[in-house]
Amino acid sequence: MRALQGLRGLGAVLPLLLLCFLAALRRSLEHGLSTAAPFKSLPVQEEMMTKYSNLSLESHNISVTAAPFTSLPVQEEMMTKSSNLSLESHSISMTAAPFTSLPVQEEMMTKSSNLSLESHSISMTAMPIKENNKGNQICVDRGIMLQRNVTLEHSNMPVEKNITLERPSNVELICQFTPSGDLNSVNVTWKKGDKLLEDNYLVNATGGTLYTQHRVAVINSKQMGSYSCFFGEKKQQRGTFNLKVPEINGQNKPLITYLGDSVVLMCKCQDCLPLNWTWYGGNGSVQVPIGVPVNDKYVISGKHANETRLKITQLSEDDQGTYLCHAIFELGESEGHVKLVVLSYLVPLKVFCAIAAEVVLLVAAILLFEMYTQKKKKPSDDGKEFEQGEQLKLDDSNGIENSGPRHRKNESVGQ
Amino acid sequence: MLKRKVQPYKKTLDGGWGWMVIFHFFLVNVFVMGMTKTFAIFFVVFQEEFEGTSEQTGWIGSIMSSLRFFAGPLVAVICDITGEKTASSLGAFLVAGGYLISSWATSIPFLCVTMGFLPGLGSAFLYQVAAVVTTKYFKKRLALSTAIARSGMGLTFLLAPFTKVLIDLYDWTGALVLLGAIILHLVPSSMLLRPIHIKSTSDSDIKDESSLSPTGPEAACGTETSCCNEIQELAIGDSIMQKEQRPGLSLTVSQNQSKEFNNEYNRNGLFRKTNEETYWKKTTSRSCKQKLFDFSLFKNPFFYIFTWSFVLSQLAYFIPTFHLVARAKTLGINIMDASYLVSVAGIIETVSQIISGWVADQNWIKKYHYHKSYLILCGITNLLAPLATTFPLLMTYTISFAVFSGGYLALILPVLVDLSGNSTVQSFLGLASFFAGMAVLSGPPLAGWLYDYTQTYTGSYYFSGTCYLLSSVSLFFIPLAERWKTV
Repeated sequence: MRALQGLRGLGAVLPLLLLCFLAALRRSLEHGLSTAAPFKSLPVQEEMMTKYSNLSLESHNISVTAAPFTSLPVQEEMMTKSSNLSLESHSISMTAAPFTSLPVQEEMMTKSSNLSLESHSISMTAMPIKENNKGNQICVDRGIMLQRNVTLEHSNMPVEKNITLERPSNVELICQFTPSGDLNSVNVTWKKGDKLLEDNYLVNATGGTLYTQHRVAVINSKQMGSYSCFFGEKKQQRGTFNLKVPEINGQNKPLITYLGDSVVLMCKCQDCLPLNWTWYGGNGSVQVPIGVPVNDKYVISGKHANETRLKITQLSEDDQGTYLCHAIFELGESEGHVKLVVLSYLVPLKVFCAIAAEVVLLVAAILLFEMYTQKKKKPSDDGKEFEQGEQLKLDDSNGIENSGPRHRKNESVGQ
Repeated sequence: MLKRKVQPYKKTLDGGWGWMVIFHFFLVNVFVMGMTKTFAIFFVVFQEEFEGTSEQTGWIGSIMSSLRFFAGPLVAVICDITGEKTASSLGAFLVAGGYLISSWATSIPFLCVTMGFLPGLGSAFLYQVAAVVTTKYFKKRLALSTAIARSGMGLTFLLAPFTKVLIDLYDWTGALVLLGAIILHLVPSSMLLRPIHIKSTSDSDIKDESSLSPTGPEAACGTETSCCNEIQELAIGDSIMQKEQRPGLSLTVSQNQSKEFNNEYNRNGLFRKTNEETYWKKTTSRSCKQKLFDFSLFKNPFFYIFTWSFVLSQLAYFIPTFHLVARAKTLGINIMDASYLVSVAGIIETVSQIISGWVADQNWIKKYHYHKSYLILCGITNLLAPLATTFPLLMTYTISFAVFSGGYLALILPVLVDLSGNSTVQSFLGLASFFAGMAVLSGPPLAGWLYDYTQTYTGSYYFSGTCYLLSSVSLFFIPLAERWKTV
């Protein structure tokens, strides 16, 4: 409520502020820095924008309809878009404005516009108020030399990124940071887990942002783990890359089977090709490898390299439990779970017998009811029939005289 | 007519025990339609388990649903032989047995027989017998009562999650066993189908404007079999004479009126005696065996009118319901909204059936006029369907289609009763269902072929719309046929 009232009050002030804002914007464009400059002189407005992000559309409309924007096609687009939804304004304006000079990153920014609202809004507030510590912007960028795209995220909280690696490759991790104060005062460090890394990284400062790049040659599982880049001493200002092997999908629901049946347990990997698969049967905490003594009961097969099947025949109660399938990669191991439940045939049979008994009861009840109602009617029926018979006899004995009217009556009704 | 104190059913009940029959019909609708719907869940399971192609596995479902119609004439024959209660119980046993045996299935062809053929046959028995007995118990409120019974289809949405739970707990073998046990409940409910003999339907028919064909002496006896009344009565008369020992009663077969009179007497005397009933049935069956399949239907123009309309409307009905979700997906609507569409359609169809049934029962105009107009409206709605490209438009289409299709579905049985006239409803429905079975069998593959050929769903909607319009065309010939018959 208060916000709305405040909104109305600010609404009157807004056009004036907008004009100032536009003037500042033009100046900043000439310099080549789009977002940093304009908001510098208008901290209040930035705050308003934050508030507006949570409120109605109308506030955005007011800001957009200002004429001067027409000369700035890029920003106009951004602002027009922001007039439609509170969400989109944040994402698009954030993407377009700062990085118009860096086309590659702009593309990246557009992609990241699909992420959560919070990160975007926070970064937007962050940009203009350079004094505010909260507003520090961190862009975390990840790149792998062999393949894949570069993406950026903006957040004022620690950013984490999961990277799935299957084969040995060279990985390039890039972190980007726009500090509020002096660039040079920020200390950039890289850590693997808790261990500080001394070499293999570069630091570059362009404009208002710090770029740091770390290259890792991932050969075996020792190089896997989590790498973090730290800006300054604060724990908040960091980005983390988690290098992992691909995940294996077992089966979420337990497999229900019956004694004496055979079952096929399957583990699958989406886009990966493990070197080898192994199965372990786990009863409690003890993991026993399956298939090591080759016998008829367990048969391991797999149609494609990305899946494995374990066929178990002649199931018994002991075969119940959780089975683990291990996928071995060059860079480590990954496992999936499959739960097996073995039931005896009696279990559903008991339920079936219960239902069948209930049906038999119902049938018996209906039969009894029918017999009861028939018995009730039977004595009265006989009497009435006899009555009919008597009547008939009488009618018959009347002979032709009665058959006349009867005949006529029948005819009239019969037609 | 002679007034008798024991005249239990001078005219149709339109209530009383009839509501128990409606309850049974309701349960039949729930289970029979539920079978078709839960089959979709088992489809996935069977495909995985037996590693068959989706075409092969789909055959099971096709056989199940089409046999429900194909077995129509067979049901009519067996019903004449054994009576309704037995035929219905037999149907329930067939379905339950089919499910039970399927739990031991080892391959898809095995399943085709045990889960396609047997339940299909059983559901034909159940459905047709229930429908026919309903027509016997209800006349004035036939449309409303049928609509209430058909609302059971709306409850089938509960069966799908229930089946999923069963599969999670007991795997598909256990689930099939338990479903078979649940369907066994249709046996006691079939026992509710008490036989009823309407003394002279001709009496009520004369004044009843819903009846279209002239009534003759055959109609007067109102039996299940349309044949050999004379032979029947002779046999009955003899048996009665032997049992009741009334030598004074003499049968003069030559006179129509005494035939009727004897018939009446026999009915009343026999009505509540179940042992004599079966005896009577035996005698009729012995003498009437050669005439059980009623070929006179082929000479009846009403039969052609109704079958044409029935077959085309069944063919057209499947396609929109089949393709609704798929079309919503291609238009970019997410699956949650699409399933919302389906449930809305189901609810509105049920409500529309009941309203249409009530309106038709008021008898403001003849029922087939309503049927005709609903079919035409369905056709127009379907022809306009390709214009629906957004979710609100698609919702509008779904709602209007549900309203109109509910309207005509409720009236199929009443219109059939109106058109059947001389022949029995049983054989009429049986034979008409046989031809409808061909439409049901070819419907889904045809729809799929249309999609593959045109790569859009609009083709199937145009096809469905034209089918509906064509099906309504034959109903325009009813006045002509009436005149032809009376000439």
